[in-house]
Order: sequence, then structure tokens, then C-alpha cells
Amino acid sequence: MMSLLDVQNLRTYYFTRRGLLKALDGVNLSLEPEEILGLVGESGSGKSTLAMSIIRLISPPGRIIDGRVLFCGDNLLEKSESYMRKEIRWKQISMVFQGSMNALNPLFRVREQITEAIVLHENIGKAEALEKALELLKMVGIDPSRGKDYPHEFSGGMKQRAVIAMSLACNPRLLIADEPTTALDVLLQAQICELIKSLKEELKLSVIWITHDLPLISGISQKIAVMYAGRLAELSSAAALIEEPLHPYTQILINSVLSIKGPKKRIDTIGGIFPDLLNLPVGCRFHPRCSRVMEVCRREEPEFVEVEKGHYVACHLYTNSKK
Amino acid sequence: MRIPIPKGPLTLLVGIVIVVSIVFLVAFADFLSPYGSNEFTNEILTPPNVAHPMGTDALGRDILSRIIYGARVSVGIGLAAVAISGTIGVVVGAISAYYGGKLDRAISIPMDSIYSFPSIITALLIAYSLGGGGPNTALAIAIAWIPSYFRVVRSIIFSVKELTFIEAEKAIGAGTIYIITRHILPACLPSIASLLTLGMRDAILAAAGLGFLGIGIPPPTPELGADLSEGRRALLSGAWWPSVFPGLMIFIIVLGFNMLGEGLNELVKLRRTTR
Amino acid sequence: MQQEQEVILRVQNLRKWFQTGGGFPFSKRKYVRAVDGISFDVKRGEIFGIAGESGSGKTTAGRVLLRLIEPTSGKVYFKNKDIFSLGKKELKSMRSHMQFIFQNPYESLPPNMRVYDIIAEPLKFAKTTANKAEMGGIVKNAFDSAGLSPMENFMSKYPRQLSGGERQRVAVARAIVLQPDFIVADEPVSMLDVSIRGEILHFLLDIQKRQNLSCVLITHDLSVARYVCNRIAIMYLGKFVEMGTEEKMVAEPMHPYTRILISSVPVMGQKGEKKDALVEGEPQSLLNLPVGCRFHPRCSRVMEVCRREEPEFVEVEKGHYVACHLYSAH
Repeated sequence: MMSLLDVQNLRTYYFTRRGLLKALDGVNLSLEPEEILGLVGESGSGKSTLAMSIIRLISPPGRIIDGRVLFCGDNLLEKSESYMRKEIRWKQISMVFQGSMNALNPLFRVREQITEAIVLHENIGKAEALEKALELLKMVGIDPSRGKDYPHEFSGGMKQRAVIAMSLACNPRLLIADEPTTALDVLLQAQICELIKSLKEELKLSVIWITHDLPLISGISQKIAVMYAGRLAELSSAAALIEEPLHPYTQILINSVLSIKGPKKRIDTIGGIFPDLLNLPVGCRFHPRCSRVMEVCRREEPEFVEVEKGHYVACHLYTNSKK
Repeated sequence: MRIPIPKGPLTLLVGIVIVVSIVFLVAFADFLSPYGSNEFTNEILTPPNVAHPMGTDALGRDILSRIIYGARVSVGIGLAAVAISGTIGVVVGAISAYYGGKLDRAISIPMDSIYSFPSIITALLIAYSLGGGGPNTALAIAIAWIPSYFRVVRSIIFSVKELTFIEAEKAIGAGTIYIITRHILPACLPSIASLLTLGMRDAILAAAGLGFLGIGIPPPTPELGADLSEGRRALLSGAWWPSVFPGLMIFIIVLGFNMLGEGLNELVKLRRTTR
Repeated sequence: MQQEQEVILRVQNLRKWFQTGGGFPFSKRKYVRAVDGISFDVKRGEIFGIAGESGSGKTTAGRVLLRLIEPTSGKVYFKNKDIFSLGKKELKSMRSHMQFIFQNPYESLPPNMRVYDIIAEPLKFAKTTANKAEMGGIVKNAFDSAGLSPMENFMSKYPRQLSGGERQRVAVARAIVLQPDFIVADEPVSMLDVSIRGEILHFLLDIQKRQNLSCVLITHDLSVARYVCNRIAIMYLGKFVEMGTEEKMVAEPMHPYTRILISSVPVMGQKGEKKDALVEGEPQSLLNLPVGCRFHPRCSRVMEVCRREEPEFVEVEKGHYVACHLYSAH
């Protein structure tokens, strides 16, 4: 069965005045229908670049220079810009950006903004679009009668939910959410998580959820991908990743999480220097900070291989043993 | 692979070239000028030739020499004016912005009143009442331009003082004067540099304007605006060179400082965005 | 270490109201009651956490504690001195004993100073009898304590050449260079990558142990509070709703708001519905506080009295305070 989204060997480079910045350097992942994939990474990992590359919102000096992005079998990188604009963006693949609750236009009523999004992409009249807009508000838990309010009359959480409603206006198959709950308080965060979970079931939606919050994503996603300095370090089911993390970076990430329950143990921190995307080390890009570094790690970049069913990792500790 | 060339550096470069050339010209005027500025010859209103590359004026003076010395006068007045108004405007603007509140309002009201009046007219009135002469002209221009510096510095400081690191300075026990001199002003320095350069442009243009109107430096001292005004009379006789060359010199000097100032502005913006 | 430690900071009924509106002569004055009467003690060598969501007033509270903002009313006693009644000079000398760590490492360091000068800067304002050589030693100590070793690698750099985690370490070094008795840390790790938060937290714990440093840690992240704090207070709309030891607060929270907060924190690998974690609505605006208990519009256990009267912040068990009608004596 064909995956909904299949990213193959995606490379996005930025040609800056200071040098060549390899934001994405060979990313492979796939996403099935009705699946939530958590994309976990820290600053400089390239997770936002990956999201933008999938819907081709990379602007100069950045450029996607290699790879394929197969959406339902079609390579999006070969489509024209107008195809992307008319058929893909907001229709099939939608995106919610970080801090997007501030993206609502303060001069227009909320329901008008959702209506506009619908009219721009679907071939239906304004009245029908308005009806749909109000339905969407209901779906995200906002009383439709509040549709006539202006954004400043909405609370932070309501704005975030309104933006999610807007992103679902055209019934997309894939939603890319870039840190949708990072700026929110923990109670709101829980609400939005529940919302997205229920939307996934109701609308048969797939989600790529970008975050740095491992505990959060472990509770709602089916698969988790861990990114480091432009490549995937590990990809597996959420359960397998938490129980049996293979990549040393994943292990540190998991051990550096503070928990509210359970025994209090001293957390890990990662040592070494932040990766400089303009000047990546030779060999495995994580090796300068890895506690289990071997000779081969300093020379060769490990391949991203499947070491167990559905569990991929890019690390010489595992690829060597397979040989 | 297209590498975009931003406009900034080009403007800055041209500005630097022009201004440096002018400074060189002015500093070595005595060596570069072929004749004295008030050297009368018998060749009245001669068109440009080998002996006088820019011709001579109605009194037989070499125009090239006149504009070299005239440039010196203009730059001199400009420097004096900017020095005075810049210092006062920056200091008062810094204090007013830092303390804010009633003090700020008390200072802003007279400043805004003067500012609302066209600066050149203010300078004109002050210069007229002070009488002519270089120092008075510089003073008049300085006074008329203080509010401009005040306003810009004040707004820069308003934005800088809210930055977190200023609050951090207070938390470690730094006093007000230390914070202003050691942190706030240096943060504003790049903007102030461009402000002062553009101020030179305004001051020189104002001096030329006042000279043109006959207020300011009295003859026979060479002054570009005055010479331009005098040169107009020669137009009736068909002589274009006594007016065109002083005017061109004014244009080049003003252009130079303008581009330098704008170039610095671009540089400041560029530095801010690459953090 | 369990004997009665001396109290280094005593806060009594602290209030900070911000005025909004009232610009025109006849419009009514409205107040944002950011901090509306909080009281607590901090003992020497203790890390006291103030946890709450945005809008709870915790950030404002932190700044008032060090008098970076003037209070509206209430008292703060630092080593038995009322800091709000100090004159300019005395306040300045007090600053060398109480320091602040800011949340944003990208904005809290002066951009045009080298790291060495940044960390040494507080020495300029402190009355010290140390000579030049001794001062050099003090600064080096600060570098080491904050993990900026070897010093040579960092001292000549500018903040823009450092990563977020390194910058925050510089902020920590600067805060401890004068060996203060007391530090307020405002969300010190919330802008850092998760994998390096431990560094800063471990430094705080370390300095607490070695120098008997007292600290008020402000955070919205309960797991951070749990990890480093000895006692935690939960703040909601300007007031404390519960306060107690870290163990009790996490294991047996009493106030409904605390309960919800704790159960809403995602736990690794925990899936499934957390029905009791969901709460209705969002906090009221600080301009329009509800009558009675501030939390009652969202409380699942609201009673009649909650809509009328504000509950008092009382000690219901030894060392454990709650402001809730469920627990106050009827």
C-alpha cells in the first residue's frame, strides 16, 4: 500500500554569504494515512526546514537540491509552483506555524478569515463557505456564535484553535504543525493535544508534529523521528523509541527529560559543542559529542538503515553489527 | 548560483570615495589650488581654458581655486554646526529619553515647536539677527538643527533602554550615568554616526543656501553659495561657468555626505539582521 | 541540614498593581492586579519555586522581590532589612548580595562587551577591598563555577559568538561572581534546548550546596520546579493557591488547580485520555477578576461559598498552605 507521504533523500541547502549551510542533508521518512508522526529535534536540527521543504516554501538563498517528496505517489518537487499553490497547499497539505495565533488579521472577524481561506481554494460560494467556516469552529471546540468576534476578543487558546480550524478549511489529508503548543500553557497544551487527536480520527487526518517536547509527543504520536544537524538520527514507533532508544543522541534526549512523576534521578546533559551547520565534522555529525564514539565514526557518515522492523537508525554501533 | 549584491556596500563605497576626496582637497587646498582665492587677474570672465580649467569670474579670479577654498569654508561651517548641535542634541536627547516622564515632556515641547518650523528658515532668521560671518552662520545652523538630533537620538534611546540587558545592568547595581554612557550610547553609536554624517549634508547645504541669499559669509571670502549667486549675473553675458561650477561642487559635496550617511544606515541595518 | 535555618527573605502581603486606562480625565482608572498579596519566607540555602502559567504574575513578582520594579504595597525583608525603605546608596550596596538571572540569554547580556568584562562588571559596583590580583581570582572562580572552563576559551568572545546555553552560563557566572546570598532566577532554562537544561539546573544545585545560596526560581514548568526546588508555591492570577514541600506538592496536591496542573504535565510514554486533566476555559483577565475565589469559574469542585468569598491562604498541615474552601475550617 502506498504511503501518504514518502520523503526520499531530501537535501535542502542554503547558499549564504558565509558559506554553504546544509540544513537538510539526506532525510528519509514516510507517513501513512491517519498517522501522527512526531518530528523531534533541537535548535539547528532542521526540523522546520524539513516542514517547509515538503510544501516547497523554501526561498533563496535556500534551495532544495536533491531528493523526492512523494505525496500519494506524486513527486511534489516536480510540480509547478502554481500547482503547489492551487492544489497542494492548504488543500491537501496544510500547515500551522509556530506562534501562528498571531497570524490572524486583527482587522477582520474570525469567521471571515476562515471563509476567505475556503473561497480561495474551493469552488463554492461565499454563503456556503461561511457555513463551513462555522462548522469548523464547532469542530475545534469554539462556539460558532463567537465567529463574528475579532481576533483580539479571542483568548490565546481560542486563537490557536481558530488557526487550526483555518488550516483544516479544505479538508487536507496532511497537517504539518510546527510547535503548535510551545507558546501555550500546560493546560491549553493538553486541550490542543486532545483536539488534534480527535481531529485525526474524525477527519482521517495525518499529522507531522514538530516539537522539542519528547514526553508530549510520546503520548500522542504513532511514530517518532529524531533529527540532528540536518539528518535523521532515528525513526521508529513511539513505543519502541521510548523503550529501546538506539541512537546515543536519542538516549541522551530521553535521559535529559525532567519528569513530574516517578523517582527523581539526575538527568543527562549533552556535552560538547553545538553543531555548526556551515562546518559539519567529517564522519558522523554527532561524533564530537558521542560518549560511544568509535574510530569509524570519525571517518564515515553512518547510513540510515532499518535495524529492526520499522526501526531505523543512523549509527555505526548498529550498522556495523549488521555487516 | 546567483549571489545577490546588496545595494548597501555600493552606496557606502561611493560615499567614502567622495568624502575622502573632498577632505583631501580641503586639507591640501593650499597645494592643490592653482591660484589664490582672491587673486585678481586681468582675464575677466574667460571661459575654461588650459590656464583656468574652470574659467574666471567677473573679477578675474580663478574659479577652480575659488571652489577649492569655498569647499573648505563649507566643510568648516558644516563641521562646526554639526559639532555644536550634535553634542547638544545627543546629550539632551539621551537624558530626556532615559528619564522619561515629566522631564521628557518638558523638554520635548519646546524641541518639537522649533522642529515644526522649517529648519532652514529658522537658521535664516537666527543668522540674520546675529549678523554675518562664519561663526555666526555655523551657530545659526547649529541652533536650528538641534531638535532634529534630539528627536532621532531620543527615539533610538527609547527603544534601546527597554532592552533586557539594560534591566540586567540595573540589577547588578549600575548607576544611571554608567548605564547611559557605557551601554546605551555605544549601542546607539552606529545610528548616531550615520545621523551626524547626514547632518553634515544638511549643514553644508544650509550654509550654501544662506550664502546664496547673501546672509552669512561676506565677500571676498569664497563661499560656494555666494559664488553661485554672484555667478548668476554673469549668465546675462552668456558666461555659464561662474555659476555652474560652484553649483556642481555643492552638489558633489552634498551627494558625498548623503551617500556616506545612507551607506552607514544600510550597514547598521545589515548588522542588526545578521545577529 | 534539617534544623531550623534562618530566614533570609521574608515577603509580606506583596502587591503590584499596574494602572491602565485613566489617561483621559474622566475615564475610570483600572488596575491590572498582577501581584495581589503574596506572603512567604525563604530560608538560607533553600531553593523556593514560584510556579504558574502566563498571567499568574510570577514574572512581576520576581522583579519586585529585587526591587527592579517598585511595589504597590507590602514588604520584603532581606536579611531583616526592609528593601523598599532603603535609600539609593543602601539599595545599591544591597544589590551585591541579591542578584537576578533573566529568562532570555539572547537579550540579557550586553552585546558589545566581551565575556570576561561582562562577568567582571558587577565588581565595579560592589564595595570591595580586594586588590587586582584577588579580583582576577574571584572572576576565574565564577567562570569555573558556571562551567565556562577553560576560561581562555570564553573570556575574549562576544555574546553573539556563543550558543544559547553558553550565554546563559555567562549570565549565571555574572550573577554569582559577587557570591550573593540570594538569587532570583526567572525561567532560567525555558529558552534553552532540552538536552542542555540540566547544565544550568545542576549549576544552581551545585552552588546551593557549596555556598549555601538561597534562590527563588520562577517557572511555568512544574517538572523543573520539582527537580530543583525544596519548596514550591503555585501562583494563579496574582495570588498563591498552594505552597508546600516539593514532595508533597507533587505527590499529594490539595488545591484543584494544582491537581489539574500536575496531571496535565505530559509524562513520557503515557498515552490515553487524561479526563481529569481537562479544564474548562482559560484564566480570567487580570482586569476583570471574578468575585469570590479566582479559580471558581473553572473549578470542577466549586461550591456556593466559592462564588462569594475569597478563600484565605492558611496552613492546613505543617508547612503546607492552601487557599481553598474545601480545606478551610467551616
